[in-house]
Amino acid sequence: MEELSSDVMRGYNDVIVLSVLADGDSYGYEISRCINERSGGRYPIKETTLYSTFSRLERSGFISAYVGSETFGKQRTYYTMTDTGRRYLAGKCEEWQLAKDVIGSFIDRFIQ
Amino acid sequence: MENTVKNNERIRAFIDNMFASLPQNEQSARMKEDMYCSMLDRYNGLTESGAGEDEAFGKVVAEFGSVEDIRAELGSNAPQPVETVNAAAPAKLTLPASKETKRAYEKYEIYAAVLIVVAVVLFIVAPLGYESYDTLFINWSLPQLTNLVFGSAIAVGVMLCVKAVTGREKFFDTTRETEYNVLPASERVESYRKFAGVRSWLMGLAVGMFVISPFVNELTGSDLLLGLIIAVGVAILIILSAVRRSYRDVLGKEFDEEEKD
Repeated sequence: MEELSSDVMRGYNDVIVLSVLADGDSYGYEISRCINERSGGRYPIKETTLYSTFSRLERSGFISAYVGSETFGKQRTYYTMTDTGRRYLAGKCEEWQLAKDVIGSFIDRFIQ
Repeated sequence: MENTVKNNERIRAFIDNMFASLPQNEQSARMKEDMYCSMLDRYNGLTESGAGEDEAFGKVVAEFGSVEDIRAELGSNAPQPVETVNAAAPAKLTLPASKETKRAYEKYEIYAAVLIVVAVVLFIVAPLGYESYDTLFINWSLPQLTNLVFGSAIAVGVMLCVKAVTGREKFFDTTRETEYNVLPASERVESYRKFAGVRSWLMGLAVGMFVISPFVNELTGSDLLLGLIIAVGVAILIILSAVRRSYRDVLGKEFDEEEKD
C-alpha cells in the first residue's frame, strides 16, 4: 500500500497546505503539484480535499487569498499564510511530535 | 489539438455537473472557477509530459474527489473560531520569515548601523572634547566635569552598540510564540562561524590594548590616552560578549556543537 487515502490524512491536510505556503505564496495547481512531489507520489491529494482545505484555512484566518496574474495574464487565486497561520502551524508541528511519540510508545515494538 | 479544445469543454462540463447540486453563490462560483483552472493546468501538465489527451482527461477526472468535501465547506458560512495554540510550550521551530518581518529586519539593520556610527563618533569626539576643554569649558574648568563628559560619551557609545546588537534578537527569536528566523538555519551557523573568527582577532586586539596601555602612558605621559585605550578595550569585550550571547540564544544546541570544536 504505497499511497495514503484521504481518510488517513484527514487531520493533516491543514498542516500540509500551510507548510507548503511557509516557503512562499502559491496557487491551487502549484500547491497540489508540490504536495504530490514532496510526498514522492504517496499522497495524491484530491482536488476537492485541497480546495475544501483552502476554504477552511481561510475561514479560520490562517491564510488569505488574493488575485495575482501570471505572465500569460491569466488571473489566479494566490494564497498567503498569515501570522496567525504561522502560529497555528508551529503549534500543530509540536502536536505532531507529541502524537508521534505517544503512538510510537505503543506500536514501535511491532515495527522492524 | 482538436481533442484538447474538446477536452477543455469536457472538463468544464464535468465541473458544472459536479457543482450543480451545490448552493449557487459567490463562494461556490469562485471555487468552481479556481478548480477548473487547476484541473486545466493539471490536464496540460499531463499532456505536455507525454500522456494521451483522453488518458489525461481521465486522470484529471479521477483526481477530482468527492463533492461532499466541498458541500460541507460551502454550507458553513460562520467564521470558525481560531484554534488557540498552546502558548505555554511553543515549538522550537524554524519557519521562514514572512515578507513583513524581512522588511522590518532590513529597517532594523539600518537603525542598528546608525546607532553604531553614532557610537563611533562619540568614541572619537570624547577625547577631542577632552583635549579642547580649555577652550570649550574655559569658564567651567572643572576637571571632574570633563572626566564625567568623557566617561559618559564612552559609556553611551558602548550602550548604543550593545543595543544595536542585541536588538537583532527580536528577529531570531525562537523562544516566543511567533517564531521567525530571517536567516535559514544553515546560514545562521555560517554567520556565527564568521563572527567567531572575527571575535578571536578582536579579543586579541583588546588584550593587546590592555597590555600596551601602561607603556603608552609611560611614553606619552597622557592619562587621557591611557583611559581611552582601556575604555575601547573594555567596549570591544562588552560588545563581543553581547553578540556571542545573542548567537547562543539563537542557535541553541547548534551553538554548543560549534563551541565543542
